[in-house]
Amino acid sequence: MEAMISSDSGGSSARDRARARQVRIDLTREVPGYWESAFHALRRDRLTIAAFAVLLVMAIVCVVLSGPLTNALQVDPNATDPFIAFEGPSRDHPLGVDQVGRDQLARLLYGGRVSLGIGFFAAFIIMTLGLAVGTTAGLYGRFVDDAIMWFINTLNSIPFILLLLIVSLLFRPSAFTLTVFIGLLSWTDISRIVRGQVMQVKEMEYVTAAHAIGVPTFKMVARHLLPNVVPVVIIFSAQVIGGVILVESALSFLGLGVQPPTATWGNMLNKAQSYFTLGPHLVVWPGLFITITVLCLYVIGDGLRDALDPTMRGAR
Amino acid sequence: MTRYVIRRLLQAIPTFLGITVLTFVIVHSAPGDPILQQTWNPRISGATREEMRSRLGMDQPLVVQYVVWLVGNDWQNNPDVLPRRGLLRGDFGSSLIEKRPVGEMIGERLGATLLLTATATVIGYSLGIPIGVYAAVTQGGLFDNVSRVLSVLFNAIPGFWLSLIVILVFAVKFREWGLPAIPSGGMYTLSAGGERGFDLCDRLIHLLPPALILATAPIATVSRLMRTQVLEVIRQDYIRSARARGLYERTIYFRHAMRNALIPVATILGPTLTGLVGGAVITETVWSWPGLGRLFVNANFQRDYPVILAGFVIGAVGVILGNLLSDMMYAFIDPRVRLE
Repeated sequence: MEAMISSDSGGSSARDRARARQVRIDLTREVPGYWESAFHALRRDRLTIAAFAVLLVMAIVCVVLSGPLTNALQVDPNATDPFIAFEGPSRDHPLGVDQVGRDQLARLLYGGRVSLGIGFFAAFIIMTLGLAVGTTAGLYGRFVDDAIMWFINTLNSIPFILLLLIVSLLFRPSAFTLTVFIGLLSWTDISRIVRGQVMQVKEMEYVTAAHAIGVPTFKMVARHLLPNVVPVVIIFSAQVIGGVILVESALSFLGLGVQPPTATWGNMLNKAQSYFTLGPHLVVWPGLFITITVLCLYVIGDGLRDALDPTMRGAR
Repeated sequence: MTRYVIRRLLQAIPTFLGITVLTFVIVHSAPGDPILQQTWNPRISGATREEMRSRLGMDQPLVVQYVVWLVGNDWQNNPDVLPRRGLLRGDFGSSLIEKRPVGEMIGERLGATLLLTATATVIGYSLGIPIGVYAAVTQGGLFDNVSRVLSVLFNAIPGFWLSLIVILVFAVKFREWGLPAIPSGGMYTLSAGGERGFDLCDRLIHLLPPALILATAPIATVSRLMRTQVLEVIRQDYIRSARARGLYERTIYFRHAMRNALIPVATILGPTLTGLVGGAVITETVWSWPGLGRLFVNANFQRDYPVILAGFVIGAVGVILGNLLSDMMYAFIDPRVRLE
């Protein structure tokens, strides 16, 4: 801000001009663009950075290192050994084994791979669909908007978990189809937000101006609407991933999500209720992993909102 | 107000029809069929199966089945087909498994679910609002920070896992250690001598643990929203003039600020109820609560189509009514809102 004001006071002498040039260079450096300043704000937010680090470590360990690690420890996530069922932590099995003698640590890591994968990919579908439908509704208005909003209201009037329950029961989904189902059923909130944003931006003068000079619709969306809408979607992305992970875990807990022997954090808790006395360690760990992951995602979501929403910056 | 309610109810009709179409199509587009599942016995001949199908009207095209489900077929007086009055006349059909009217089964369980969700809503709002206001009053203080951390944490914990941990610690372990333990599920203690009569303490100790866990989500949401709203409202001029007039801080916060801050909190009642309906399905399953949620989950496993469809319809009607209620509360709290 300071640089911008002083840059206006351009003098006539050579020295003044040199100084003005100096100032201009500073200006490009010190008045960062939207994304740059958002990034700066994020970097100063220690809590968000910490949450991101935890999540990153979790993701790397589960997705990249789960294979080599379990090889090194010589445990197989799906190898059963009934003779040691329900055994607590030991040298061979640091977190104990489950009801059929499978190593819990290995299953947690492999389960994390599936749970995180479902979370990220379903969120990607949700974001894409929400962006597309919301932009369409906001841009075209009238009949299109009415039809889309009616559909959204209808879908929103059915408790989401009921729909997901029946769909996953009737179609017995694999991890992949479950991801698609979750994605197809939960884009409505995002598209509502996007629609509102598009309608707001659409009324702005510069859009009217662009319209007046005959900018084609496609270019208008790409150049003027999307840059205003994408940050909003990004703000919600972390939250959506967290929400999907929670939903998947609840479904799998009921025995309707991803089917064993494929492990997810949710289905590891599926029979947990019957093991309260035999193996309490089976109840604690998967839930702890879910909680830590979702907590990190929600904290990141808050951080993203603070960083990307200029009106929120510094407000807290 | 009456006109508004009537108009909203009329507007809900297309939504309601949409829901019935959507759920009917989803349920019936699934692979497999309930008759096949019931008659896996190899001694049952194909002809019997066909007869069962036609008696239940399942050999008809999907559109016909939908219309029959919606408005019934009893005026046809066809002796080969089971007469039905249809959804719109309050007939949910008969359970394929229990062979009795779905309406009856729902009637038995509706009370339990309403009790659980109503308790959770009341707890959620009556704890969430004061927590939010107090956090805003002591902004940046210890209470504020702790409550904010807890609200994020409780949003992140899967409800079913929290239930499992509570049962593990307070029901199973406490009993092992000889401490006063909570029951691990159900609605009341079953005794060997049949019905023991109504025991309020016993009912409460069964109701409160699941209700509290179900309430964690609304407590977190309501307190967070309340905090932001109060912080926004107290910056406004009329609060400053209230201060200038020398009112007590307590009066300012709880009478002047809260009334305006409550407006958005009222509007999330609808979504809160939707969330509770979903949460109740899971919570009821974990705590063996004899409510609609468990009925629905079990019906899903047994492919009891009429019960599943009834579950959808009731859930959707609940959501529509909840949204209407929250809009009416909106108008009640904020006199500036004209419901026309």
